[in-house]
This record gives sequence, structure tokens and C-alpha cells, in this order.
Amino acid sequence: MLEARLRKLDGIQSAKVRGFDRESKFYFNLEISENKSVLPQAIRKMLEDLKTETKGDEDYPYNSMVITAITGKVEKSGDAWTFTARGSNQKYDLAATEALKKMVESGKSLLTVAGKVSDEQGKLRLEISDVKDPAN
Amino acid sequence: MRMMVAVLALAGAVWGCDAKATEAAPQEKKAEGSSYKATVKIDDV
Repeated sequence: MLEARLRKLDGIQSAKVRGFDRESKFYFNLEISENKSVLPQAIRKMLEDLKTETKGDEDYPYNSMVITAITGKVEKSGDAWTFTARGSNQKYDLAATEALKKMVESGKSLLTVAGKVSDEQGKLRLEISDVKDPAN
Repeated sequence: MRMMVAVLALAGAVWGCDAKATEAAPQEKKAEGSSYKATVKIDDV
């Protein structure tokens, strides 16, 4: 049910539940077109629509979203770091790590990153957990 | 004459196979990086 709903969202190429055990069944692995961006707000809206359509029978609260690999350009402006996704040009504020800072200082700005996406108070933010050179 | 026809037929068959092999060349690999990956956690109530 949720897999099918996720697949209908604009930009989602595939959506698969991680597994069927007690913990894995809550996680869905998504593959998203690079020229689109699927944000937490789109997932929350899909879940709200599902709840409304089923008169509350299908009630699944959004928990979190983690990008596991996305390539784009990292830039620093003053103390602020931003990430602009390749293809979609979606911008995220970055919570930069030392590893990311070192890579940018060494001249690399096109990077593949992973991290938790949040949109609290309307601010789209990516908390970097991993960074690598897309050429490697 | 019969021999010549056979040789021509064989040559045609070989040429045909070659053309088919060219047509069946592997399609260009989908550009890497055309998608990105994410995981979403959705709770149950």
C-alpha cells in the first residue's frame, strides 16, 4: 500500500520496503530522479491524503527522511554552507562536517553526500553523515 | 553454376549475420547519476 503510494509521487522511480521484520517494515528505500526532488513535505502530504481517503483507517505518521547518496555542489558563504543538488538544483542548508570542509578546502566542490533531511520551520537542511568524491 | 549459387548464398548468410550482430550491439548504458537514493521512515499507529 505505502510502496504504491510512494511510487506515485512525482520523481520517485522506485520505492521498496526494506524488509518485513518488526523494524525494517517501517523503512522504505527510494530511488528518485536526479532532476526532481522529493522532500519530507511531499511524503507528509501523501500520508495525510491517504488518511483522509481511508477515513482514518490508514494512519501512518511520517518519521524521518535520510538521503543515502546525492551528488551536487557544496558552497560556503560566510559561515553558512549550502548544497545544490545536481539536476534538480534543489538547495539545502548544510550542517557541515570536518570531512566535508576538508574536501572543499582541497578544491573539491562537486561531492556525493549522505545525511538526514529536515525542514523544520520551513528551512530545508541536510545533516551530513557521509561525504565522498563522486569520481571514486 | 550450382556451386556458385551456394557460395553466393553462404556469403549472403554471413553478411546477414554480421549486420544482425551490429544491430544487436549493446544499448548505451544509462547515464550514471541519473537518480539519487533516500530512505524514508514511516511509523505505524
